[in-house]
Amino acid sequence: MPSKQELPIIHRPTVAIGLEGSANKLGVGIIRHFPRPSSKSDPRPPAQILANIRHTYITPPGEGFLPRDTAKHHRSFVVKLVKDALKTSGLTPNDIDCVCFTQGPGMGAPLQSVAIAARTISMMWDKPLVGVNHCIGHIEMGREITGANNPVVLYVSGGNTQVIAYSHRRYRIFGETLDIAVGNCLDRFARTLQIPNDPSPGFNIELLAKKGKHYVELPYTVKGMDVSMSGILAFIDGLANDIANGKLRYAEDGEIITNEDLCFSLQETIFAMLVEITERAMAHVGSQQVLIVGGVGCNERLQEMMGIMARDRGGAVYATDERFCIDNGIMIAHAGLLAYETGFRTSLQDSVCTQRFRTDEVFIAWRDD
Amino acid sequence: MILQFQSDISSIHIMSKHDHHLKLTIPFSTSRQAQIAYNVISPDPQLKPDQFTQVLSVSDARGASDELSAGRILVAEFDAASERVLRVGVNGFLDSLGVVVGCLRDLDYDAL
Repeated sequence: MPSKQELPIIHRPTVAIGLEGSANKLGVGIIRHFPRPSSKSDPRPPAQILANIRHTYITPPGEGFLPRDTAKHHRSFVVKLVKDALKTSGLTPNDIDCVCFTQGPGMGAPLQSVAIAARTISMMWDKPLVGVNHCIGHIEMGREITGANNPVVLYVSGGNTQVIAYSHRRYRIFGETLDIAVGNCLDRFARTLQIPNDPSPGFNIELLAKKGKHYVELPYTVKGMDVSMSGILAFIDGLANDIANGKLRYAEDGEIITNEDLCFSLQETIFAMLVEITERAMAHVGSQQVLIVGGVGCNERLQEMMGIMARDRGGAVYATDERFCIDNGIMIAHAGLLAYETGFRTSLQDSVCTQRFRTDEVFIAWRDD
Repeated sequence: MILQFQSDISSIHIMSKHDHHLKLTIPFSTSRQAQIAYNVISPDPQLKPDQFTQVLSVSDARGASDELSAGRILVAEFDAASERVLRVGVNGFLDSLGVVVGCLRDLDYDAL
């Protein structure tokens, strides 16, 4: 590993198309990067988003999405989405420099179905293929959109829960879930409550939580730098089943505990845990910035709680809107193009997807800090 | 595009570990397309390699029934431990092939 390398100077704009399909969201994005200024102290111009299209596989209330059906959804829509993205961007295949795709982590069959499309496009258009780590996509898009240069990153989604900080060409995992992701906990509780998955189960839990009035004490499971969520889910599933079976609980003011109260209590508990481990990482690395990425990052209550903590420390919280925090293709195009510009390529043999792909496995060649 | 199904045991070139075989010959318009399909589908390993084997090849001039089909036929030979495993594996191959064909049809240079 080189200790210091000169970043290659790109003298012309570069364009990438990115395909994402690690979970139930299929995304295609097209992004343009502008050349770095000749003076190193000048900031690079912002990236230009030429297309960001997404189609989500939504299951009926009470059901989660299974790999086989999700892959079938992606296969059905990928060609149309690529076509629409090209049309929106006004570009032709000739204008594209590389084809980026999510190589992992995620669900096997959905990942593979999108990889097939990416490989085909790469071969048809005769453009290099770039495999991208899904987590790195979230992080780099968050940095690009918010301008947060070197924040502690809280990456929270249905499949991942990690606290990440950058050091020496790697995004290092400081803390993570010991069992299930925060989003998975929320999604599964949504199934218990049989609330709709449209537009997303987490969004509907957030709506219910806003109507909650009573805090119900739940297990609080922070373990050092890590968190555990499965016990909380089991406990709150029990409470919800009690309500459904007529075994009611009452708050101090005599009102019955409702599902809204449970949603509220679940959010307060798990978000407080996330704030704690994020703060611990901030203290460890001496950072004032927090960047929240991933689908759960859309949650306004999480942003609010994180903001209170960050401001108490004299810092700030950064978050993106649903175009970027929910899985999308543009983040894959962006992170892939950053790698491509350093000379990174993925051969066909190396383009096999992998369900487990640690964030720190990726060498961040495009940063020199 | 026509798929030809042949259960022709005598033409299986791979080492047949199992009793259930299928050979598909998929003609493409050009050899470039057949080669793309081959390159795109080949890298992925099988989930249960001890029960299911898939061997892809692109027909060469010698193996083709006529000069026109030389190099533009994707040949897929399957070997499976049971009928169910054969069906599941072949369906998986056809799913991937469907994506390739869709891309070739709608996203190739001459289609856009």
